[in-house]
Amino acid sequence: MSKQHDQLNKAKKSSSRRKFLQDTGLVTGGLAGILATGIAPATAQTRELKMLTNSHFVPASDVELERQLAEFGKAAGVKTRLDRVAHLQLPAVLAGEVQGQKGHDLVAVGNSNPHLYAKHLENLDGLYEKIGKAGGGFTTKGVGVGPDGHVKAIPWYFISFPLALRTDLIAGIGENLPDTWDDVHRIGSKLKKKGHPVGIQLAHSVDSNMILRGILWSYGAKLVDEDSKTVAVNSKETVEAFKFIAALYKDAMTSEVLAWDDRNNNVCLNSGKCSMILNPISAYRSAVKAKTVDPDNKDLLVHHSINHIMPPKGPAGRHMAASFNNAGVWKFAKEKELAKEFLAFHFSKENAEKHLTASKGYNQPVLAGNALHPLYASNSKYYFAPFIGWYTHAIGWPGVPTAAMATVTDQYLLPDAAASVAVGKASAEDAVKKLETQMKRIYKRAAKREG
Amino acid sequence: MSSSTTTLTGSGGREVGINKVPIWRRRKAALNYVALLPYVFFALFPFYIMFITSIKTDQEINNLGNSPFWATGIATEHYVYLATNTSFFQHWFVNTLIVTVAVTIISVSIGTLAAYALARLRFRGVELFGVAVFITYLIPQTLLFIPLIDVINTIDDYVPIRDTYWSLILTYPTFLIPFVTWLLMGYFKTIPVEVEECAYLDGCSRLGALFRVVLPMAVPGIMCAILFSITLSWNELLYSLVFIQDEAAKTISVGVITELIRGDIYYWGSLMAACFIGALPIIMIYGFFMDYFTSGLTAGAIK
Repeated sequence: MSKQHDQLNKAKKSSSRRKFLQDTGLVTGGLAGILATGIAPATAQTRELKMLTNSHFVPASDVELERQLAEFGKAAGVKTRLDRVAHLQLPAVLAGEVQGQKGHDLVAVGNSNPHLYAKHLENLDGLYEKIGKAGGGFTTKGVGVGPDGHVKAIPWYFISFPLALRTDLIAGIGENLPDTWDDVHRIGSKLKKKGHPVGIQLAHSVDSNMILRGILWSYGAKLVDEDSKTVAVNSKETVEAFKFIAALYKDAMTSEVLAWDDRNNNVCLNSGKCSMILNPISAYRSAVKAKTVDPDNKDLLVHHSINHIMPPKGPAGRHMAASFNNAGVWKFAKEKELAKEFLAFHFSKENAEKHLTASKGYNQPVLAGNALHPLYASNSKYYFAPFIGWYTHAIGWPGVPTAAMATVTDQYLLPDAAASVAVGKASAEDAVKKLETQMKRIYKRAAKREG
Repeated sequence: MSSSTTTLTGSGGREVGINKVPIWRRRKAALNYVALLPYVFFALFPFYIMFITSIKTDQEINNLGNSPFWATGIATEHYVYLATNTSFFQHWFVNTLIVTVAVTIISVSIGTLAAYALARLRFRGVELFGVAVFITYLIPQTLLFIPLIDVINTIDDYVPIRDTYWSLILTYPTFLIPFVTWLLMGYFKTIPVEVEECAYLDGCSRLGALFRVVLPMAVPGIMCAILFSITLSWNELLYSLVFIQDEAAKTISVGVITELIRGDIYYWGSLMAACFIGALPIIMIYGFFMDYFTSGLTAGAIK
């Protein structure tokens, strides 16, 4: 880690009193000179390719990305810079750059953001086709696409939500691993009585937004139609899904889940308390790193008995949402062409593989050619990874992830509706009707905005 | 709490100790301190939990069976991680310090002069100016940052200030100057005009009276403004997040969440260590200047 950090900061200058005084002189003198002459300084014209992304779950992934940027920059004869912010703060920085029409060249735009910022993102149709052709085709549909049908961002990787479970606890009650949501309910109910509940957030968190969509889809429900414009949440399937969520909450979960954020289910599994959660491999990896011990068996490291399997299936099949990250180029970027060239360089088989390996498999590939990466065969905990894409959809499914869907997601309308049914504040029917009203208002506004 | 005693010589040269503090007063004092305990506990608990968490191992933090209020040992790994794997000490702390000092000097200097003018000078629209300053203070940062981005970008076209602490030194006064002005306006109004008039009679100019008479009398209020400015700029997040993405130019508030919150993986030990160290300067400053702070606040409140 220390070495990675050194690499990250190698070229960075230290702050000091002398630097402060030098900078003061530069700004004061510079401003005076510029205001007098009205000419921008030459330093402002230095070529630099700047990329903004969220701080990755696995720090080594950022190090590898920065290495690739530096390698590309060296070949192209330009400076490069990788900036990172925490993933929940990224929308504020993107909004700031769009407002000021200035900032980075390349940006990470997750889920619905390519649709939301379509007016400010370059069309990348040609590059998408080229990268897709070289990589065996994209496994995603509609991800990274704007309202006009043009590709606004290249799908980069997805973060899936397998069922992460304690195999020893399930075997201990004489059950096999769950395959359906009914299995999860039955096994979870038994294990809750033994002090090992199921942990699915019914709260304002990304995980909750993703998992609850998966449950709805598995029950045949959908938030919107395939056209991505018609709100279709009010159906008997959604009511059934909500009733199942309420039953699961009552019989297999504890009230903690109503206040959880994205990390709480990880802690619950890693501490040895939870029997099942739906989460990316980060929960397992945290358990490995922290070497947490089972409270009931001090000789057992919890991660030894954690495994991942496919998300459960419901009456309408096996479906789960995933978080899709995409890479886009701002229209106002100074180095548009360089940014596109870097994307081609980064998505080359060799570099894409290095990035995937550095992320310890966390960056699940969206290119068919990389799906069966040997990394996923190297650890039995990752066997699910190459195949979970078959059941994985972006948040707007069966449509595409739109700006309106981003609002529905960011306002946590689905978790709120599900939680109100779970705690008995509303009937499933009433919660669905309310959700429909809220969504229709958002979609109406979005339709007006898009003309 | 200790009671003082005086010794008197009684008959036969016998020394008699007389307790000067009556028992009822000591009981009252004890009761007062007991009543204060919950508040002290409430105020110090966050620092305690930060410190305790920062000295636990990851294994201990993740073990829900352990008490969150006590550590079974002392682990320095999170402090070492901060020092070796992040720019906390090398850049973020220094940047925050530079920004805080510069912004406090600017804001308090301008705010003091503005407050004096609004409190003392009589000119058309003075009341309106006062209200306008207050309203400016009420505009939330989440709205202000949008136009400020344009301002910073325009300057950045000529002088590269984005991604440097200069963008913060320029923007933080937009919310601090109105605050300092409003706070000190009230304080200046509590200082009798007659004292100033005496200074004029002794030959002082307006500025001379301000610097020689009014400002020395307003020290508690100014200290209070300084303390608030330091706290607000030390803790600020939004502008720092939006204007600075360069790792080496970040402040503590942004650097910590960038490096130590990675999706659903929270580096709790290091996060708490960073928060604890980050809070220390503020705690120390308040510790030293608490008397000024309280008198500055109350004097300003009653005019």
